[in-house]
Amino acid sequence: MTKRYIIAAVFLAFKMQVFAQQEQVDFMRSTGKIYVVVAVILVILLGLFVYLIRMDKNLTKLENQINRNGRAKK
Amino acid sequence: MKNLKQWWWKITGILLLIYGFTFGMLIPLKPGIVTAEPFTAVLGQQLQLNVQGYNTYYTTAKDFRAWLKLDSFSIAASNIEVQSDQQVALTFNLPEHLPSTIEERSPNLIIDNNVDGTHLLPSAIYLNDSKDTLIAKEQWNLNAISSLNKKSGIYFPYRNTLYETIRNTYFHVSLWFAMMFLFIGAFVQSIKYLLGKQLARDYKASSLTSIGVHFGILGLLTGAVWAKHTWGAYWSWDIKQNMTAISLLIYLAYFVLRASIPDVDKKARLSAVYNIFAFVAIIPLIYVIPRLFSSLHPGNGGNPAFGSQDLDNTMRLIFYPIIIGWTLIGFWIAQLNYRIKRLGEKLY
Repeated sequence: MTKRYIIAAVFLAFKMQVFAQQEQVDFMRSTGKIYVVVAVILVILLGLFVYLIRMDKNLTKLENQINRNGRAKK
Repeated sequence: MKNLKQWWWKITGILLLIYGFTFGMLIPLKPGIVTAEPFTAVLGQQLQLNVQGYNTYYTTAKDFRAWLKLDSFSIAASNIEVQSDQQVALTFNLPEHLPSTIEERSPNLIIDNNVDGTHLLPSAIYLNDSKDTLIAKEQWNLNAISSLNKKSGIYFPYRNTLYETIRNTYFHVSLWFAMMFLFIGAFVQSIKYLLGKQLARDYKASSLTSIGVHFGILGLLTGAVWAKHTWGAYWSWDIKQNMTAISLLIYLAYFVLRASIPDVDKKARLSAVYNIFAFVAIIPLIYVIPRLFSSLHPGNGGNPAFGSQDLDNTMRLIFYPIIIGWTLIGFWIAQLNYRIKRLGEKLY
């Protein structure tokens, strides 16, 4: 799962770079560098998502354990 | 009512962040000057300066004035030709000599009108000495700039090279403040663990440290993105970058330590002691050492906190709520983490 996310992210980043090079040489520095702010907010969002995924995995582990214990008692 | 007690601080965190992100992005920058070309001029000659404005409304502006200012001496533009909202051509008849006793050769460009208020470009142009014997048509005026307009309304400061990225103050710097509050929380919980030996304190400390480190890593990453487009490199080996990276490594070792001890009580005791040590260790790393060296960060070489130059009152209205917002959200995430750990404890 995680591997697929990483590959997708790298691919996307690469594509964006190619796009930026073709369309506008200075995409990040255009219109008052507002895209730098956008990039920073995206980094924060992605970071929070990574943390969410980690917590989700921990919870899933616990849930699996509860399910297994439940079945064992029956 | 019981729900309210549980939720009020989480809701407050959400609202503060929504407020901060919305207005942090929406409020426009003050008018400013991006460039003025050419970059050099010869004293005693006529100079046509092509000015590129930012967030300016030159076509609707009246009472348009412009000066080149060296120290307290200035010369006014003799002709002003507005080309568009962001472009104006200024003509200056440069004096033959620099004003008396002044060595500085780069005057500031000041533009003033009734719509955009006063805005300036520091060290706009470099003045070379004249080689021919043109007689200066105008001489420097002393303290001639007066009755300047002021732009009313709510705006963020305009800074050259920063431009819109000044908004990153809210998104990048606030993460560090929130990280520190989370580490303080973890520090308190660690002390409480050592005093009472309750395992819940250990879970709280590690949860708070976990999200604190995560905020720290996000602070480094966002800082790197910002640095790339203002300082030119993702990592410039700036003293603050280095010291915060070391601080985060110290805290990452906390988790290595925890993972390496199987016994629960021993793990709790050792990691509490380590956490206290780590907190004490990062105080000089983050708050003392960066003040002793020059840095690319604001307030370089001196106080790394914000002076009035880097954070004006409008920015404070956004900056402080976002810090509180991130801190509350951080404590919320830590609480979720803690609850998952408690659940796991009950299962074993």
